[in-house]
Amino acid sequence: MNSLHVRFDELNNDAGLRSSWHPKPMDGLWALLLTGGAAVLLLLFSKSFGYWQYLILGCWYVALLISGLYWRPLQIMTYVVLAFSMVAVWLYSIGQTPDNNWLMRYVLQGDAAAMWMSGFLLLATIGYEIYLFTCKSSVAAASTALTWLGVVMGFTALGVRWRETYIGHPSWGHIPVGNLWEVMLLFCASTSLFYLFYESRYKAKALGAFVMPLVGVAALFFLWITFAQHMDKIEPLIPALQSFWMKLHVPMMFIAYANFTIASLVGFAYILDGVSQKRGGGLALILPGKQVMDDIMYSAITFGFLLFTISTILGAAWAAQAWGGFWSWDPKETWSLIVWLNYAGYLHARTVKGWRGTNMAWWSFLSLWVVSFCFLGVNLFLSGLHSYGKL
Amino acid sequence: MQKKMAEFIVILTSMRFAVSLLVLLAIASVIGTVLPQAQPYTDYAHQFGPFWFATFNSLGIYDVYGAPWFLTILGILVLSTAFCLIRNIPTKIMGMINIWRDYVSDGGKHNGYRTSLSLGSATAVLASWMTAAGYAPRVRTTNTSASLVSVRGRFYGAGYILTHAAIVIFCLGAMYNANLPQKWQLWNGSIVPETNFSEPISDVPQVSRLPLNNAAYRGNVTLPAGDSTANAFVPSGNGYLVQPLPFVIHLHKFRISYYSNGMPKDFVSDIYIENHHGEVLKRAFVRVNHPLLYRGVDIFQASFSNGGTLLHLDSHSFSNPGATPKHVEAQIGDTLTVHDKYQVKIKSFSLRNVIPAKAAGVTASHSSPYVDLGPSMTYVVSSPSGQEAEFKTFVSPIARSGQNYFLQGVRTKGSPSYQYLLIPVGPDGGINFFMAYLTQLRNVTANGTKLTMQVATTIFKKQISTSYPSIMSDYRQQAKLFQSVMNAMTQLQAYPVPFVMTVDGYKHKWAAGIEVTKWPGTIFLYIGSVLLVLGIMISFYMPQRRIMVKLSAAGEGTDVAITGHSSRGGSNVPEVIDALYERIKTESEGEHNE
Repeated sequence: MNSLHVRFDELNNDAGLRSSWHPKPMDGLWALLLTGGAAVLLLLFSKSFGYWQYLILGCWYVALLISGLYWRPLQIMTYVVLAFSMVAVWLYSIGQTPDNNWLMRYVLQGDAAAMWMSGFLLLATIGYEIYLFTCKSSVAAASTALTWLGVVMGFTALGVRWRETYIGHPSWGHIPVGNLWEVMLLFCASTSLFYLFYESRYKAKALGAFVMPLVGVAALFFLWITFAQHMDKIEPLIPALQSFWMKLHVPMMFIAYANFTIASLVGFAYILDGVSQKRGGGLALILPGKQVMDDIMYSAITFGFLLFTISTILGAAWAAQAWGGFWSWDPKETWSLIVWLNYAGYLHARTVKGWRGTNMAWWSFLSLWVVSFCFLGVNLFLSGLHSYGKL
Repeated sequence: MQKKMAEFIVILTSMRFAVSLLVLLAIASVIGTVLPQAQPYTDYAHQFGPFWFATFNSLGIYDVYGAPWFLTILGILVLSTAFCLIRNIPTKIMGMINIWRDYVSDGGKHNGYRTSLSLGSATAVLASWMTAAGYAPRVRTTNTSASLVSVRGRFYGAGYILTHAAIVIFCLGAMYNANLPQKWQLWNGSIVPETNFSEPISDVPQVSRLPLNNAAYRGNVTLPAGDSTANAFVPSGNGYLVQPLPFVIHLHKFRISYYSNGMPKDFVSDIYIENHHGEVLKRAFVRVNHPLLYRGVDIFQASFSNGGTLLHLDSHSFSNPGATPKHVEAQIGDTLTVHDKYQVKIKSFSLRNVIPAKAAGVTASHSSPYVDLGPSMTYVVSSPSGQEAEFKTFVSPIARSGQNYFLQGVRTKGSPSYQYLLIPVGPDGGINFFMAYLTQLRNVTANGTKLTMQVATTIFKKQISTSYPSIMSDYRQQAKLFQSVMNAMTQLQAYPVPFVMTVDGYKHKWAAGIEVTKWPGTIFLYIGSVLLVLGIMISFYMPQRRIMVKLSAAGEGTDVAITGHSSRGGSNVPEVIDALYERIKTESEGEHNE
């Protein structure tokens, strides 16, 4: 009798993956600190707030609160990133700069923190590959830790740079999502963060060997545009970009890109898993299993699709303000429509037709090229209204 | 006929067809991102040659997103979505209202079970187990039967309705904004775009004019400061259409503000909206990202250009430095003949030249590492032998280590950067001192005197005393000036033309590029957007999971049939069904054993 009751309780969780949520003391602290933070922002800046700023603050507050409660490591990460960024901001405020303070020069200034991020993420990539071949759980743990360090330094870099855009020329200040350097930084940090989320949710460390190489390549590209192209130079925003819409449109887009990227690389793992099973290779043993990978793909694509849709709509509303048209068939717009249609097709095939398995994994994997072209290719190869990230 | 129609609708609403259309549309969209759209037709003709130009033109490749075939695909997709919606709305709504309805089960292989438990106790235990599994049921009983239904995500069906309705509403709004009747008129020839861009607006024929009360439009107009317009131009194919506006737009002023590094910070058109009698109805500052909405018409700051800047130029001859400079007035784009046979085309005029102080060779001020070298004019000179060079003349002199210079950049065709000629300026801030000195030297050498350093210095001193007396006693300044004059003369050896243009004065005038749109369908776009996002959220995050138990009394015992249904894979519905069957079997056996 008793044993069966346990089984029913287990059934209550979807395949045991979504554990039921119980509050912990740290959640109270989280809610308290977020509310306090929002209150401080309101006290300091509400004089210069229009109603859109209230809306944006509200969105960030709700999104952070819920995400932190849903996935607690995010709370710790936020504390650490905030602490680092605030130390840097404080050091700047007392006249310490990269020129006269070694901590600023080598660690905390935006550029330096971004370099640390690249280093950690590249090391994590190598770590995950070693794990794939050695199956040592200590290596996996180290890789996860390195990824966390990379994520913390990445978001610290963004936070500090936000402050740095104001230093010396207050009218230049802007959220650091205005040029290719800044968005690549955001891409590396947010893709790694979302990867960590899926890894911890599904206890699937071997997927790092598939997801992180792309982050590693992005980090290398990021280093290249830093050292060869000097794109880390802070520049002010052109008039078209001076809009509150940017604070919503761009970060949301990058959360979507991050999720699409993860989905497609998990798709790649899924395909190799199938090959490995056929040939009796060892890969299938270390990968988390087809059902889990299928779940991750679906979760990532649905979440990405939701944000991509909202973000594209926000982009269209912004375009209506800035360029006088919701949709101008600018290459970036057209390619984002292509991405949207592609995933709409995928979701229809999956939910209505019930398609699963290797074919869908291929679809998800190949979508990476469409997404990457939309994100980078359009800026590198085509010209149009969105030409902010030219090399 | 009806059968065919029905078959057609089946195909139209099939998932395979819809997914194929989505993919086809995605692929077709690529074309317009690879080939730049809406360029002048001559560019395409040049690029493709006459045959391919005509072929591509008939395919509508130059405006893919307005091409009939592209719009047809889009139309079929919307039609397919609409039909799907109409066909599925009743079942989806019924599913939300009536939770007792039967579904096709995806619970698997069970055929039902006859338990020895009575109807009442079977109902009670099943209800409690369902609750334990997280599927608390609603119960309906009669004397001989009972139904237990648990639905999580009851309103899942709304997700389908909202997303698909959103697409339809969206497309209706966009179609309204695109003004389809007008597209039809263009296609059948009752409206013809005007292709002569230099024609005055009064001469544009009636057939190229749109009605004042046109339902929707997107036009633009270039308005020089101080001018007014009551019309906008709607680009169409190879030409344009004239759209009369319900008011007059008067551009009072156009202003650009800059960041310290010279990048533009803000473009502002200070405009007056007037009625046709010149009465001001509204004044507004239209900026990028901050359009003005006036009587259903949106007015945007889109671009800016030269609005008829007037330049007062002097051409100084090096071959005859003593001659009075020729004075001429010119506008940007004008071509002048200078020095008998040189063609000078005025290319552009910019008000600011902000460069890093280091590059300018001056020490940076404390506030900014950049300096503004002031206005400059660029012009292209074609020599009689057909050689071309580009020149950049700075209006104000540039200070460098205590001496002021007239700055003139030169670059020959194909060279990426300018070489600079620095001519020291005299007390009047111009190059007259230098020219006068050149003249004196020329006069002396014309007499047969050999030009030595001593001769040059003597003439220089004489020149100082006559035309620059203020530095007569400042020998350091004199030495600096002399050195600069000598350097300039050396630089002149490599100077490609025998004259130089200076800007004596200018009257700058901007023109603002104003965009005017009337889009009453926009509200539908916003409604569609909200519905779409809501629908996606419901579809993804409120999945439906449904378990239904039907019991009917059969003699002493009860027949149990458990069915289930979930809207997405990965749910635990099949496991719950299995477990419920297993429990009721164990329970019945237990009762027998007792």
